[in-house]
Amino acid sequence: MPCYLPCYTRAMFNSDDPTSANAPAIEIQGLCRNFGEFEAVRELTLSVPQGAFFGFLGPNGAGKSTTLKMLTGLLQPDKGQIQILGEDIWQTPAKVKRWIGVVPENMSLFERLTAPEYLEFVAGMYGLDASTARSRSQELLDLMQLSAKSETLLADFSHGMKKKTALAAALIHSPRILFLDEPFEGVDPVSARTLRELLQSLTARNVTVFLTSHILETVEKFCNYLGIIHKGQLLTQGPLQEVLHRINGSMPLGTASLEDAFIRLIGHEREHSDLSWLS
Amino acid sequence: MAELILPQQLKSLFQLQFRLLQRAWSQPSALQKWGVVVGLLVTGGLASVLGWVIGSLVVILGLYAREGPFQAQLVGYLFLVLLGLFGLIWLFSPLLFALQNDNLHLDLNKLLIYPLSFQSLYALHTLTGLIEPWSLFFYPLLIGLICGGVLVVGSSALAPLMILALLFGLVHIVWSRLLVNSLNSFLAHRRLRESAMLFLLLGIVVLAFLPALLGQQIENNPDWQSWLKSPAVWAQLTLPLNLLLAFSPPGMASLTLSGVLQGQYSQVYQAEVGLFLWLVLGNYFGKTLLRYMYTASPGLAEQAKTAPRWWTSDPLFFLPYDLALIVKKELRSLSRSVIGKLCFFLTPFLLVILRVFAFGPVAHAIPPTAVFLSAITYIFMTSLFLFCNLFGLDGQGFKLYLYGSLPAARLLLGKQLAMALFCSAEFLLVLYLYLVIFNPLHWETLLFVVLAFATVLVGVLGLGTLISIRFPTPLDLNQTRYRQSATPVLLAFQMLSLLLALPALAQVLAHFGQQPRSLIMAFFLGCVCLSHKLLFQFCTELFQAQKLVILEKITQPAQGQ
Repeated sequence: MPCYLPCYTRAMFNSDDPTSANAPAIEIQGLCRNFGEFEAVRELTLSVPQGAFFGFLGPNGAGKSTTLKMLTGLLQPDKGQIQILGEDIWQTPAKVKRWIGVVPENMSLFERLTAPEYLEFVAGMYGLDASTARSRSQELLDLMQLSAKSETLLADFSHGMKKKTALAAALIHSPRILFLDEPFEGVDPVSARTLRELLQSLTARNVTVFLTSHILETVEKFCNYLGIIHKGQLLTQGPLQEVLHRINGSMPLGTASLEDAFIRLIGHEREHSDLSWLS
Repeated sequence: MAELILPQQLKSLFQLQFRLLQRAWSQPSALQKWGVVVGLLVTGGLASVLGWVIGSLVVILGLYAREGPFQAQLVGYLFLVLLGLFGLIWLFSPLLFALQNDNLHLDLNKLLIYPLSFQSLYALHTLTGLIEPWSLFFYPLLIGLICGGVLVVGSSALAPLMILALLFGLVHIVWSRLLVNSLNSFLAHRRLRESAMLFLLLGIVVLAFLPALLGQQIENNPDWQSWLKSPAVWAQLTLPLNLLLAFSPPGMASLTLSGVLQGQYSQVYQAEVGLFLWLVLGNYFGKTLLRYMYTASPGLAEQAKTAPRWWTSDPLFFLPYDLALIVKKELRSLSRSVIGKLCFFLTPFLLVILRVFAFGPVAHAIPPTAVFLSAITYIFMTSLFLFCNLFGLDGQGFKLYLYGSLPAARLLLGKQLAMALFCSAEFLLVLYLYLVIFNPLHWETLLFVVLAFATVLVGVLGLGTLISIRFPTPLDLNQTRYRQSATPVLLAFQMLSLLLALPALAQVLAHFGQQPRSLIMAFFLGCVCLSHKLLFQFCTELFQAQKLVILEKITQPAQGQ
C-alpha cells in the first residue's frame, strides 16, 4: 500500500503526550444528552481501542452526530464521562484537542480563505511553525488534488472539495485520533479511495479513526470495529466480524453483508407501503 | 500551561481576522469602497468633535464644581446624564449589527474544535470588541475625559483617569457583548428573531415620531408645562439620580471624574473598585452564557415550528387547483419573511401613528382622500422591491417550476395574484383601521380610493413582472451581500411615480371637466388593465425565453459568500 502520509512526526506532542499508552483511544461511560424532551443519546457506553478503524452507524437522527459532537468537545453531555486516551475531554479540553483531528458535520471552514490559507491557519492553531505549516499544507493539498485551486476561495469550492479541505485540516497536526462525520459524502470516487487508503495507513500507525458514514460498503471493507446506534441507544459494538456474527446469528459466516445485518438490526420497525400508485 | 493561548495561535488568529477584513474590503465595488471611506471620515470627524466637546465640558464643569457643594452635586448629575447617555449608546449600538450574517468576524463555533481553552476563546471574543467600530467611536470621548481632567487638575490626575477610561471602556464592551449574546440565546428561534426585528424596526419608527408627539403634547397642555417647571418634580428626581450615581457604571464613572476634579481620591478609588466589580460581574455572566450557548444549548440550528392552521377549509377554493397552489406558496413565503411582514404592517402602523400624532380636530381635518392616497403610496413604495423580485424568494425551488408541466402564463399569473392578494389585504387593513380610528368614509370617496388602488396595483404588477424577468438577480437586503444593482429598483420607482400620479390627474381632470372623479379613475383603470393584458402576453414570452437565465441568477452564490 502506498504511503500517503505527509513526512512529519508527532514531535509536537512531546510535552502533552497521553500518559497511558495502553489506555483505550475512546472510553465512554453512560453518556446522555437531551434536547428538551427529546432524548438524543441515552446511556451510551462504548470503548474503542487505539489503532482501531471504528465505524459508527445508525439511521438518520439516531444520535451519531450528537455523540461525535460530545466526543470532540463541541456539545456538553448532560450525563456521563468521556475519556480520550485516558484524559477527560471536558476536564482538560485544550490538552485533549491537541491529540484529535475533527471533521464536523458542518465542516466549520472559514469560507473567505483559500485552501492553503485555511490549512496554514489550522496548523498555527495547533502550534506548528510557519515553514512546517506551509510544507504540510502543500503535501496535503497535493494529496487531495486541490493544488490547482490554491487561489480559489473556499466559498467557491464544491461540497466535495470543501470536505477534502476539512479532512486535510484535520490531518495537518498529525492527530492521534480522527473523528470524521460523513467524510466521504460528496467526495469523488478517486479522492474517496485515496482517502480510505490514507486512513487505513494511519490506523496501521496506531492512529485511531472514528467515523460515521452511511456508505455501509466502505465501513464493511475498511473498518475493523463497529458500533450501531438507533434512537440514541447503542445497539451493538465490538470487532466487525463479532458484531456481524452476533446479528446474523446462525447464518453461515460470509453469507450476509453488513447492509443485511444493519437492516435486520434496526430496519424491522419500518412499515412498508407498496406505493401501488407508482406506475 | 496547556490552557494558555500560544503565541503561534495568537498569530494565526490575528492573520485570520486580517484576511477576513481584507477579503471583505476587496469584494465591494469602488463606489461602495468610497462610501465606506467617506462614512469612516465623517464618523471619525464626529468622534473627534465629541472628544473635543467632552474635554471642554470636563474643563468648564470641573471649574464650576469648585464654586460650592451644590454646584459640585449638579456637576455630578450632569456627568451622570452625559456618561449614561453615551454609555447606553455604546451598550446598544452592537445590536444594530448583531443579527446580520457575519462571515467577517471570528466565529467561536468554528474555533471550538481547536486546542484553545474556553477562557481563551471568551477573552478573544471580548477583546475583539475593542476594535469594533462602535467602540472606536467612543475612544475620543475617553481621551477627552482624560485630557479635560489633566488640564483642570494637572498630571496627578493622569493615572486615575486612565484607569477610569480603561475600566469604563471594558465594562461597556463586556456588557454589550453579554447583551448581544443574551438576545441571540433568547432569540434562538428564527421566527422569534424575525418578530423581534420587526418590533425593533417599528420601535425605531415610533421613536422617530416621539419627540414631535411629546413636543405637541407639552405645547397643548399648560398643566404639563407648569408641572415640568415645578421644583418638587426635580426634587423627586434626586433620589433615583443618587442611586444611579452610587450603583450604575456611568454613576461610578461620574463619581470618579468628580472625585479627581475635586481631589477626593478616596471617592475615586471606591468608585473605580465599583467599576471593576461591574467588569468582573459582566465577565462572569458573559463567560457562563457563552459556554452555555456554544457547548450546552442546541443553538440556532433549532428552527421555529410552523404555526398551527386556524382554518380548516381552503381559503382559495375559487381558484383552479394549480393556481391556488402557487398563490398559497407565494403568500406563505411572504408571510415567513421578515421583509414581507415589515411591508405588510408598516403602512397600517403609520396610519395609527398619524392618528396618535394628530390628536383632536387636526386628524379629522385631513381629507380622507389624502390619507388614502398617501397610504397607497406607502404600500407600493415599501413593497415595490417585492413586485420587482418575483423569483427572488424561490431559490432552488424555482427548478420545480421548470421540471413541472405548469404553463409559464399560469406561473406568472399565480405570482401576480399572490402579490395582488398581499397588497389588497394590506389595503383592507388600512381601510378597516381608518374606519375604526378616523371618521366613517363616504361611499364616493371609498369608490375613488378603491379604483385608485386597483389602478396602481394592476400597473405595478405588469411592470414588476417585466423587471423581475429582465433583472432576476435577487435583491438581498443583508448588509454583507450586495447582489443586485439599484438600477431596476430605481427604474421601478420612476414608473411607480407615474402610476401614483394617475389618481391626482383624475382629480384635476374631474375638477376642470366637471365629471365624477371615480368615472375618470375607472377609465384609467380600464386603460391600465388593457395595457396589463398586452404586457402580460409579452412577459409570458419573455419568461419562456429567459427562464434558464433566471434559474442561474437566483441560484448562483452571492458575492463574497
